[in-house]
Amino acid sequence: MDRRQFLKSKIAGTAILASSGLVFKADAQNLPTPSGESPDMLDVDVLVVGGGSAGHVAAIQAGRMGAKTVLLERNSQLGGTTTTGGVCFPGLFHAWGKQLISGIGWELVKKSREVDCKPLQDFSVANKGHVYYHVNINGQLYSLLAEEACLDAGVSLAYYQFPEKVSETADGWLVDVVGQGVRYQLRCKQIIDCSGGATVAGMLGMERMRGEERQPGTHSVIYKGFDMAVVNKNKKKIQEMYKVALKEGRLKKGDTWGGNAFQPIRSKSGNCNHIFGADSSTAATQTQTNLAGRKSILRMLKFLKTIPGGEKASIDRMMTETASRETYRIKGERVLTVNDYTSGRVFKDSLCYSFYPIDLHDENGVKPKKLKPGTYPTIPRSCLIPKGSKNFMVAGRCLSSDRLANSAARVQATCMAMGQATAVTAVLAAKKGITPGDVDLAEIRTELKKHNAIVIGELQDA
Amino acid sequence: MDRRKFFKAQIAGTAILASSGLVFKADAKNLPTQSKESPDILDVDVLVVGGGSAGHVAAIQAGRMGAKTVLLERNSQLGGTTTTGGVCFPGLFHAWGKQLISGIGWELAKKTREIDCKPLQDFSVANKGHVYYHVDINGQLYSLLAEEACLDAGVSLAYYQFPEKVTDTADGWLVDVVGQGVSYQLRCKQIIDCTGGATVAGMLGMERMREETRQPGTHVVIYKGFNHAVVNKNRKKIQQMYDEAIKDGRLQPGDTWGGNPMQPIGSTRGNVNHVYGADSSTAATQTQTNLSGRKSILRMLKFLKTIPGCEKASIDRMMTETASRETYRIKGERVLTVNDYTSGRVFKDSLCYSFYPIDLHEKGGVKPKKLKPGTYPTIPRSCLIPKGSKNFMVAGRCVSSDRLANSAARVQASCMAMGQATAVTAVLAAKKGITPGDVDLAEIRTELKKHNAIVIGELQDAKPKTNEAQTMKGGKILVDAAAAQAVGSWAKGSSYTPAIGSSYLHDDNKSKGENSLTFNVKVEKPGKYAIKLFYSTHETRANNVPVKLNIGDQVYNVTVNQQVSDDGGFVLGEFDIQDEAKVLITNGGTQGFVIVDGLEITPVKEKI
Repeated sequence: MDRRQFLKSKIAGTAILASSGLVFKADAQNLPTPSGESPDMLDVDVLVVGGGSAGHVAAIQAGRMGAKTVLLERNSQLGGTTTTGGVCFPGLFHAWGKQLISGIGWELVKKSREVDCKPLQDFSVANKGHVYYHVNINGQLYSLLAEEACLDAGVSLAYYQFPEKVSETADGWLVDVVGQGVRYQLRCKQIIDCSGGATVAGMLGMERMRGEERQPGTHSVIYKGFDMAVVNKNKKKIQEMYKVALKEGRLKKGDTWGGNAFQPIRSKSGNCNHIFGADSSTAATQTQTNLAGRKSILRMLKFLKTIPGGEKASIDRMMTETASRETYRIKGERVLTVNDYTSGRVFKDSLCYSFYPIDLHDENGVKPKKLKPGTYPTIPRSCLIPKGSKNFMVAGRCLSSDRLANSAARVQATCMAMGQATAVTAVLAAKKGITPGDVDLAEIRTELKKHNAIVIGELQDA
Repeated sequence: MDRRKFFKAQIAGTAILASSGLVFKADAKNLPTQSKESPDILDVDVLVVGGGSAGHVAAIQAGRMGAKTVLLERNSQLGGTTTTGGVCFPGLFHAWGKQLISGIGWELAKKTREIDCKPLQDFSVANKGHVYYHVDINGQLYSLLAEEACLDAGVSLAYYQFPEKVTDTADGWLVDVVGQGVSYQLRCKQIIDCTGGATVAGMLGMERMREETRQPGTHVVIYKGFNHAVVNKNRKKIQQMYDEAIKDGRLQPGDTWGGNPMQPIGSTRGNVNHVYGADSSTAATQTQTNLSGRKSILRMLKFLKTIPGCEKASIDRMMTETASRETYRIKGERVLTVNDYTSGRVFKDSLCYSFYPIDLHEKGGVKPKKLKPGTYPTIPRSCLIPKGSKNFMVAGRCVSSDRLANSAARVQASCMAMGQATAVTAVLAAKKGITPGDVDLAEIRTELKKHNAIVIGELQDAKPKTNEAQTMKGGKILVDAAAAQAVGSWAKGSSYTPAIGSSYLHDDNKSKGENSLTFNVKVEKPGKYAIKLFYSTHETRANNVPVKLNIGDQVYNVTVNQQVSDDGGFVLGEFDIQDEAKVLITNGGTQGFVIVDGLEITPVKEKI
């Protein structure tokens, strides 16, 4: 096919690939190639679905290994909960005075802080509460850097697009991709499902788990306009007014965390509500989730304007959608248990470390349960492969785990580590024409180290 | 079908309709009904595609008329360029001392300002530049209110969804809707295409127009972390560094407007770049557009960090996508020409007014061309109907118009007016089973008036604000600058929304030493009060404004740096006031504009 036709519509150093929805850096080397079968079909090595914490890292890793990589993201930018969700303090990369997660996620996080001229805290101190070790970043800046890294790695990006149908083939998958005004097909060797809820796994009928009750989501919002002097003088009154508002239904539980009327007033992170029923699985459930999130914010705003010192309350910043904590988890070759996690179990096929207190958000708030000093949980490959599947991995909060283990393993730094590890595995599998479960673990380890990831048994000094 | 199954997954007072992607308020009356053909087909009256400036207003209007209404929005929230795009100063609703656009869009913009406790400016003044008449709103708050209004009107909302296929039927359309994890069909009588680029019209093969070179888009971004004092001292150097960066490719034209490197530094609105080639038409072109916008922002950020005073520059807020100004326009039954627009032509089928200078953004920037006083352009129905089509209308920037007319007609307030007018037309058409072009114009007019829209020939007076001298608000005393005794020449400011009253005064950076404003503040109870001077900041303000306070037999002298402020002003101090205080503001010895918006006097509670 004519290269000019192949690369449509060049602007700003990028071009749209053929009649697909994929955009890439014009001088990239590892582009998808047109399939002999049809101009609307492209051949790729690795398809990453979802550009959140796990997905964008996976895509960058795959691209850096020279694989033809496509990243499909349902939304408008990379970073998921960190950027679009506004929960921009990723962690944890460190524990007990050691660094346990590094690599691409850490590289981007560090770069965000450098560009922002904000030196990092001292991670070598071992005895702080977990909140200390989070890395506060400028989420918006992070999305720029993540995207730049993707394009530099030769990844083909597609926003506002998603797989509509996935069929198994002799040596991989045939994927129908849809977006408004675009429709095309990809033949890929490996899929990494980083959609948060293992959506692609679900489409393929792979077993997924989830409870009736799920952890609530959060629609990040920061308010402004308070007269704090007046607020502080009226704490008792405000708490009483809050209780009355709850009683009368003007507020609902979850409009603030754990019944604390002051959180929305004080919060600088915006992480101040609990949206029950939040579910990012489909366009329909996400629509409903956003409506619930925004109604909650409007209720809280109306309430805040009635309290002393809150008359001029307004919205300083609000995210464009409600983020979810829990959607679906795959049933993997193995299910990571809370015992596995809290005992720091190392499996033969452990690919990366993870670290967080057991952290279940529920109706009453959240009460983190700390790990014992010197514990370094790990995530094995078998929790990233849906049971009985081939040429398919997941990374992110949908890893195969029980609810309690998941509440810790789902955090952003862990997702980044999972993303990088699955990408190495998938690319090696694609190169050798084998399934990820059969890739030699030592080779995965060597490749991960090449790309600065921390492998099991080689924790780094903070 | 079982009502329980029909309404799936009820949370937070909403439910998902059957196996569709539609979400609605659980007690809504005008819900889509299931088609007899199939549980996956829903019958609706009006389908609105696109929830931006035109679309959400159209949906609310249709819902309020009792029509079964569905609104499909590709993105995550309503409001389009106003909210997701971050260009949140809609206009224009007023011109030449009159209001020409009201109705639902105005209702929501006004409500946003009320909730934000920000009184509107005086629209009755006729001789300001067009920037004065924009209504600055909190875009995020607007999206909440727009959504609430939609749900209250019984509209079924669907985010992240779009029509994949549209087929003509005997009495309307069959639409295949797709989103991640959802796929369903709608049978509707009328479609209103508010996609910005008339995407649905394009899918149906209706003729659309656009130029090779289109107006650029903008990715709204506000930077922070500047040392303005250092920046101001190095303006010449910064301009040179900018010119060099352009030369060696580290920056591209459009990374700022019109070659002005100061804009990203000074801008509080974030409308600071021109993203060439921006195209919102499809998921692919929007992907490319976003990449282009974000690369531009990253280039600018990297550049800013090299210039004096900006080493700590960072991003304060950035939108999640790049917004477009120009995509496609339909070829309508009529094409609105720039002549039609600038002559204020009234057509037999004019449905609403529109107002803006002819405003084409190009490689050199933007140079608005004003309209002649007393001109009130109108938008006729025939520009909202694709030529030869039936049961189909468009509203928004895709209105049938030539490029120049479009550059004015595309603005947000016009889109809101078009949205409301097309919705009334479409609902009447659906009720009568006729095509929108055949609906009786008088009926449309009557219905529009019922819903507070302004119809042709019935412009409203922009209500003047009553001049308030001293007012009370929540225990605080507010004194507008208009109530102070003025000596010398003070001008009424118009570039910024005043915090107090309906205007502010400034000395035009002239008459130094000749001007003064004296406030005589009276308090009811003797006590301690904090006196705060309100003014809008800018790098061009004076940094040493002399303020003298006479309270009892004490005299206090305070110098105010108006290049910075603490939440909109500066607290001159806390004073024991028996009954009155005199505050004298002069401009002697100052360089830069001296601004006086008003005073706020707050009782200071005794500390226990």
